Amino acid sequence: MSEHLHWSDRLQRFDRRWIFLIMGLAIVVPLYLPIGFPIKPRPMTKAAFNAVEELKPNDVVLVSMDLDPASTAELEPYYRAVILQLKRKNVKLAFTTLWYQAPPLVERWLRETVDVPIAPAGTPGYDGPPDRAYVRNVDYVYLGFREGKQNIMLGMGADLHHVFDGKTDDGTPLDSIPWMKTSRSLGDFKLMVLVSAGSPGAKEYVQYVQNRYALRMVAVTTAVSTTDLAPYYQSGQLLGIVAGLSGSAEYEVLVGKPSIGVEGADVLNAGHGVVIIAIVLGNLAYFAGRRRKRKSS
Amino acid sequence: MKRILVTLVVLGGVARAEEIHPEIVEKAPKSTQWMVEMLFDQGFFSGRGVEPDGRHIGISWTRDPAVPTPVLVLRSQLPDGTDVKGRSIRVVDQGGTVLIPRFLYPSTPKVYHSAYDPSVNPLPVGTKIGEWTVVASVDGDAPDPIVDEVDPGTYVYALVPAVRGTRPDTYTGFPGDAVVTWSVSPHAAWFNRRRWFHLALIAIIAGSLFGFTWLAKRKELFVRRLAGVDAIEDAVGRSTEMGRPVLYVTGVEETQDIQTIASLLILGHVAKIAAEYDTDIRVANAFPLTMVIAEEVVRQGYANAGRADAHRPENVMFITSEQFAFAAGVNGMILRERPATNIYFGRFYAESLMLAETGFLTGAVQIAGTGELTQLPFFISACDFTLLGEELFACSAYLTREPNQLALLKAGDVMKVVIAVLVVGFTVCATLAADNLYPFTRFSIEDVLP
Amino acid sequence: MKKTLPVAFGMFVGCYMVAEYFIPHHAVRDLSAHVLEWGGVVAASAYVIGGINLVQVTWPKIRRREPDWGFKVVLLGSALVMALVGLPWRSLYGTHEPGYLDPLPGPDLAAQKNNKAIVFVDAPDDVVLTLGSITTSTKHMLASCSQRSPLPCVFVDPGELSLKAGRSVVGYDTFEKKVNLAAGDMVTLAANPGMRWGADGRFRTWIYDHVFAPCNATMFALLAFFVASAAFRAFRARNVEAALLLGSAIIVLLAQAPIGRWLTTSLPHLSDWILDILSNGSRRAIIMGAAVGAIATGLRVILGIERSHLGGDS
Repeated sequence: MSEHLHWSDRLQRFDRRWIFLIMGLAIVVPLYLPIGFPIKPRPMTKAAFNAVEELKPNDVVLVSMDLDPASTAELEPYYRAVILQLKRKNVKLAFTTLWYQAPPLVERWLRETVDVPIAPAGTPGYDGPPDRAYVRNVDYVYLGFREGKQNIMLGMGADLHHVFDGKTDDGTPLDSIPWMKTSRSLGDFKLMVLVSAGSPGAKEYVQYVQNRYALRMVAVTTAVSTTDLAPYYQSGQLLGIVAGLSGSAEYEVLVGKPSIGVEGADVLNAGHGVVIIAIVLGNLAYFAGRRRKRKSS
Repeated sequence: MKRILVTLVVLGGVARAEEIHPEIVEKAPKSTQWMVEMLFDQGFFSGRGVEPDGRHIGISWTRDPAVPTPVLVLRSQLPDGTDVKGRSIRVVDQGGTVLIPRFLYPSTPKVYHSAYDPSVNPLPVGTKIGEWTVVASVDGDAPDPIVDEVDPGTYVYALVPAVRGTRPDTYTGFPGDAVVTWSVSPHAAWFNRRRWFHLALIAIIAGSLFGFTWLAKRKELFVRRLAGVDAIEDAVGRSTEMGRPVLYVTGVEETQDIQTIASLLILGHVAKIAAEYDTDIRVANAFPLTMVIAEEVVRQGYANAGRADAHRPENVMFITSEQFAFAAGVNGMILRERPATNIYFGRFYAESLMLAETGFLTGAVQIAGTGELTQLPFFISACDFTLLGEELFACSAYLTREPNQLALLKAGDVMKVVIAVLVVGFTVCATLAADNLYPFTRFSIEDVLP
Repeated sequence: MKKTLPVAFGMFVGCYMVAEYFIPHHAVRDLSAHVLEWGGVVAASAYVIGGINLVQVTWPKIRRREPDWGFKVVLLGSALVMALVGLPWRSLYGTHEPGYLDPLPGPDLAAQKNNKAIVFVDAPDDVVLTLGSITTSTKHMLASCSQRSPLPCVFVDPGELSLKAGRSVVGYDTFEKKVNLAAGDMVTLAANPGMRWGADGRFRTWIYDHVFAPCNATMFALLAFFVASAAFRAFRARNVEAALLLGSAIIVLLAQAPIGRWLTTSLPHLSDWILDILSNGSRRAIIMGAAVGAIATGLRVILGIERSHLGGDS
């Protein structure tokens, strides 16, 4: 005689692979059937946007790309949006990275977003000012990767040229580039944009150099690390934080060029929905089982 | 803190003009009073000052009446020990726009030098003209100090009112007389006064440490129970009963990370317990150097238990340094070898949930401890016992019960009490300041804490 | 001595680095700058030592055919391949220009009459050419512009012309040159950009883009499934505290996604209040506690109270 399981017991012994399948569908389906919920930027995201909007032409900005391929889904949409915003402001850009996994990724992104225009005149679906192709070692420099984590941050704060041996990654002397000649330490940059997936990243920049050199910084980070950085935003040490994929989607809306971030927002909605449903179902099963056990005892 | 307050009264040549050209008197500009401040140190409580490393000098000034004319700041080095008083100085001939040699080369007045025309020759920051170096160009006054980085030596500064030209860094006129400051040398201090608070905190820790060390040798210090640590021995016993190994993961950071060090400190005790129970312990490391140290620690743990012969070095493994490859490798170990106890102590990032969920699937008892705030929720939801933040660091002292280590634990608690008192105190002060209650309105936390 | 020397050295350096924080004198700062540089050098050399140690640890396991030795072969093989493709092999036999310009004696009268110059191209089909504002390849060029040369060619406007020849994929050399051409001038651009080795070389970039990056991203993506599984299993309202935690989790989850803000405008405010006010205090307490604990552990190591990390007994 087979045992007849109560639905709560069946639910509690649910094979996890069904949950994985449902989550997989929740991620894939919205990519083909977008829902398009409106996206309203948060104050933190708007603050980050405004900090970049306050820049003037020819201001010098340092972009620190501390990420690996794993976090590109959350950070790449913001990166593309902020680079468009920076380029249409005609600022000078210096790129660097402190993660050893990052250089090939950074170089690819520079080729795809800085060396060519992201939104030239006439781009469909984009009404903002167009950007242009930046010329390496004229409009932007790539300083390259340096190992040393916090030591490198401290070194850049004191003497950036010394940290990079006075050269860009391709060997061009920094002193031959007029705006890099006068940018000798972190304090000489009008703004720092931190694309940070973990450690070392935005948190270490704030802890080690922000206060020491009174730096202006905005950061994008993975959603899970946002809570770690939030106290620094409240204290004013970070001018703005863009939180994960949802923050990146908001940033794309603010910049005016919805792209992969906005597409990902639908996936986010569905994924969060699955997690909430999983929580509710799990609790339903738990309470039903508990009630049944109480009745039977 | 030493400050030099320099007040100079600059007369627009009124007295001389009266004697020679009386008709100019009515057109002569009013006298301008310069309040110049030279800074080369910092106070205990004020944020105003410069780094006292012997390489920085700060200069700020205001003019009365306030004049919006830009000011060109120049610096000249003097022989060491020269003492020069502040004075006004003429930089151009009357009505001229060209900087005169008498100003540019004050130390060699009898030698011929050419004048300098800054209306066609730009003067960007860093340019050397004559014996001077351009330090800054400020629109109006500088109530906040301009900080100049110099080599050790004696310097004077010239503050030159200037009219900007249309091209960047050019100047088409120099109205009024300039001011040359007192000679000043950067001060190399041996103590950074602004960090007095940090030193006070260290002194409190040191004092507590010595006090509790003295106390620990006389009586047993109370440390509250750490359920996760107490569970280690039970969990190892469970592994022995089930005939399955214990898995210990030291985190994904390098050896010099403090959490990895804390993890290695605990590993020795866990290895000793495993040796006593005759259970295999597998240690997964993310860096080769961590693996080498972990192997040594485990060997010593076995030796302490009198089971040096039972130690197998191949049980201490280096997986890989790449974060997710490490997670994949450890997950593979968990699924294949199905350890009965999984211990995760150290710094973890995104892979924490992967490891903990996989361990849960195999039915292992899981004990985790990390200082990474963002990973604690994942460990709490998937592990049986979790050490939060500082409990990881207290673990070693808790296990050994050594007086020195317990004393340090207690000293840390004193630190926390001090921090709590300060937080409450400063919050009250800031709240009262926000309500415009004097004297709290004069209080600014940035003035107290660097 | 084996343990005393490291402890003494650690104590000295540790105390110096603490004292350095309080001493602003430039002599101390200069020494600290050197120490930081040494730290950077040691950190970089740790990778070399790590690589050697990897082989030392892994090879015996392969030789003895220990369990999972096959994975060790993959590990060593992958490390070897990446190391080999990342080395700048070409520097061993010297680098050469990937192309050159060869002006032809001219002028070409027909081109001169039309106020054009001619650029002949001698390059493989897959070379991407940028001639001023024109981007093309030999496949799309004119077969013949002048009797002076049978090579594919293109007419350009006279003046300063920026020439660039490269491949459509990364990891190859690029030939770049600027040339001044008058009407009727003819020049041959010969280019065959070779493959690069090293950090920006073809192989390494391909392996990074097609193997490492997808694997890395895939592992991180697995978290989504693990979160759903953990949520189903572990988030149970067993007591009041757990119920409060659960409620907060649902509110914050909804608010973090755009759907939350679409549902109601109060949800984001409530979520921000929970994150910024309610949980912020405990979050800061844990951070401060962990920091104090880290200070205590660091002091233990610096003062030599704790030595088990050296392999000695406590």
